[in-house]
Amino acid sequence: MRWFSLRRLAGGTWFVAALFAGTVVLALAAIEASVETQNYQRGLLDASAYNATFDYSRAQIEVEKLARLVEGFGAGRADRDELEIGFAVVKTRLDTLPVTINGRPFKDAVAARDELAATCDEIAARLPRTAGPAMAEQMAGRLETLARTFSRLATTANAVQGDIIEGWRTRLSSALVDVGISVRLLCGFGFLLLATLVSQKLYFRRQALTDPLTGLPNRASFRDWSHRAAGAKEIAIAVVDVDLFKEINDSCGHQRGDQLLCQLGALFREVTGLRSEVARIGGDEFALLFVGPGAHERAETACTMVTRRLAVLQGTACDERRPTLSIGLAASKDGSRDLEALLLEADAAMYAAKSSGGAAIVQATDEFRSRLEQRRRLQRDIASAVSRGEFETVFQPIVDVGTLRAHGFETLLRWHHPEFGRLAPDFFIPLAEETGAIVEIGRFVLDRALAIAANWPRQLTVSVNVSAVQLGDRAFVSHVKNSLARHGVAAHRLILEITETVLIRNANAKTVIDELRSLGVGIALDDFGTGYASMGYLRQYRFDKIKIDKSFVSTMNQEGKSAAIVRAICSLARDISATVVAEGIETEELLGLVDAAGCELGQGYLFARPMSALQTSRFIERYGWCASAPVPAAANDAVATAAAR
Amino acid sequence: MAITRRALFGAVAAMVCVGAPSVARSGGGLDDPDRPILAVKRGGVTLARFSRADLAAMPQTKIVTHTPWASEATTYEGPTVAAFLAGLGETGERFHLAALNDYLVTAERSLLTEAGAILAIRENGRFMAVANKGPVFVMFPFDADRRLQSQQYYSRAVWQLVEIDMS
Repeated sequence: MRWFSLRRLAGGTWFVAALFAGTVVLALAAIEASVETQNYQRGLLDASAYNATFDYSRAQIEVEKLARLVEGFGAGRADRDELEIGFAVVKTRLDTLPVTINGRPFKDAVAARDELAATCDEIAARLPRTAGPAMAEQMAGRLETLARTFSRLATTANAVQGDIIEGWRTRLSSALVDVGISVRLLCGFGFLLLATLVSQKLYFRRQALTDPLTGLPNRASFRDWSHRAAGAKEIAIAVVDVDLFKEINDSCGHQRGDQLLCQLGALFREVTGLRSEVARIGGDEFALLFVGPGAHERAETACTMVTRRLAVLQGTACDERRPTLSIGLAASKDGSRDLEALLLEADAAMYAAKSSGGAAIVQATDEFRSRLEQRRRLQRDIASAVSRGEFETVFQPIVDVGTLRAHGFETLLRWHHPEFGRLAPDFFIPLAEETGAIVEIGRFVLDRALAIAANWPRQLTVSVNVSAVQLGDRAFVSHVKNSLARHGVAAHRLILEITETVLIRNANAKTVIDELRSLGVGIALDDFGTGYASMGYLRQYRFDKIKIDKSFVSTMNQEGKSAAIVRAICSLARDISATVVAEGIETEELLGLVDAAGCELGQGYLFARPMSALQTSRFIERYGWCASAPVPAAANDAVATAAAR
Repeated sequence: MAITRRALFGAVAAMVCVGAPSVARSGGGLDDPDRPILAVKRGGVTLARFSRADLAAMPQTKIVTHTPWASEATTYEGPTVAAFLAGLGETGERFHLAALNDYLVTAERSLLTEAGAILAIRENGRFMAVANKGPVFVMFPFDADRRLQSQQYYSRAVWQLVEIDMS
């Protein structure tokens, strides 16, 4: 509580300013007091350096001795030499007698000295001439009187010097008291300042490590957790992401979104007990750390409880949709993996839960990990797959349904991985899109397709798939233009196949498509019917071809609506001057249905499987194209078999 | 040179005595430069006696300083105590310094030598008479070193020094 109040005080600028000002004032006072102390000490030292009292006492003794000598000389007891020495001693005393005390004139001493000097002169002048006991005694008497004067001088001086010393002592003592008070106060202020600084530092540190919205530790704090988990054998991490959080924000407002995050924060706090931590590590992403025995089980329980309680929590959304969570869970029971690795796994598991539609808990099992590892491995490998020549372009004919002659070929890609063998585009293209390797791969495919198509009869088109990442590449159009020029292929023979997703993911798709069309390149809308199948795109863009997804075509012979949908699309396409390509024609029956529905072009195993460049050339030679011999449906099996090899 | 100076100062001293009171004149012997004035003893046994002339013949060191016994800065000259003791070849560490006025003080050799004390025989260029702190005045460079301005050193500044007794 004390710290809390100090922290609040520390937050006030006035408090720190007052402390600072107080410290400065006290420091100045302490400096002044210490200077005074020094001066007083010097005064005291000077005052006690020399004791004038001693000189006056000595003078008394010496004068008395001279009196005895004068007496003795008069009585013939003392000789001239002794007398002379007595005089010399007294004269020296006269010469050295202090007449000031600590710089102040001491009048009594001046008077006594002058009287002694006069007496000495008189005795020196008279004694040798009028030497006699009577005279000597008189002289000695005068000296005795003088000796008493010096005796009184000594006692007076003693008191005067004592007073002076006492004065210095008093001043020194009070100055020392001042210094003591200043120093103690200064120490107090210093301690307060120090405590304030420490508390401020702690406060700022806590602030830096706390998420202001939920009050949970933030990502920066989360990074420090590795210290807590260090040495623990059992560690579990759950990464939790709110499904469709953006939609909640968009439809219910950010306030509601924030409220949901706060509610979640409180839920996490409730379900995690001791030896566990919660942090908000991203916008709608939380991390839970469990350390110690049963970490994995505790993590599972906590995640399940959160999911359950969120489902019954009131006021989490503005409509009937209830928010759900995608949770990725990773655990280590033997301390073999560190926190960082577990976090990556949990994160990947969370994404797996998310991509499977959300509202799920995915555990990063050994199998999951090996898949993840393989994925990472492929992502690494794919970057250099082009330069290692592991990609192969294959071609599948697009056939005129009416004449059964080849209209063109769609270029497809195969990856021959040295370890995992042949891999399908559905599997590796998303990986390449994630790493950005797709741009280089796309260029390679376009280049190969045009290089091969250059050798085909000019009537045949060549279709190449374009990914969203490629379309976003600024140099894409110029690269297409340069490739066409380099291989001498007429622009109208190139058909770029684009999915709805590509259009959604590129804000400037229209510009790019317009530029491509202005080159003369044809644009096909791929996989039509599987996504949003928005009529908006058909209005917004002009497509030369619409490719109906094979999921519709392959079910045309079954009960249902597929045939009707295909017919409707064909009719729609005719009205917007686009050609329809039906994908996935595998049987004669389907071919007939497609034809009846009004599709002009078809593609599928019935005609041929994807073939190598050489096989494609042979296929063209054998079955012709456009105005030449139609592709015999009966010949398909042989070709398909050849292509499959 | 030393002899010439001694003769010169002797003459000056004689001239001063002419104007001095008769007691001083009749006792002119006290200030005779060749009269032994400083006795060096060990345990009361006299080892050597020095006249003012002997002391003047030794290398002289000058100290200009204030003292509690003079109102102005005064110049003192004489051999350093260190040189004097070195010349004696004696190794006493503790001395009794006795003066003509029965003043007696003990002093460590180091206290005197480290402070740079001298056996001053001249004051402002003139030999000091017995009636004026002479013939020997132990002097310290008080002005040069503040630490010397204390009772400890003032009490060892003995005038009319007549005896150094080593023990």
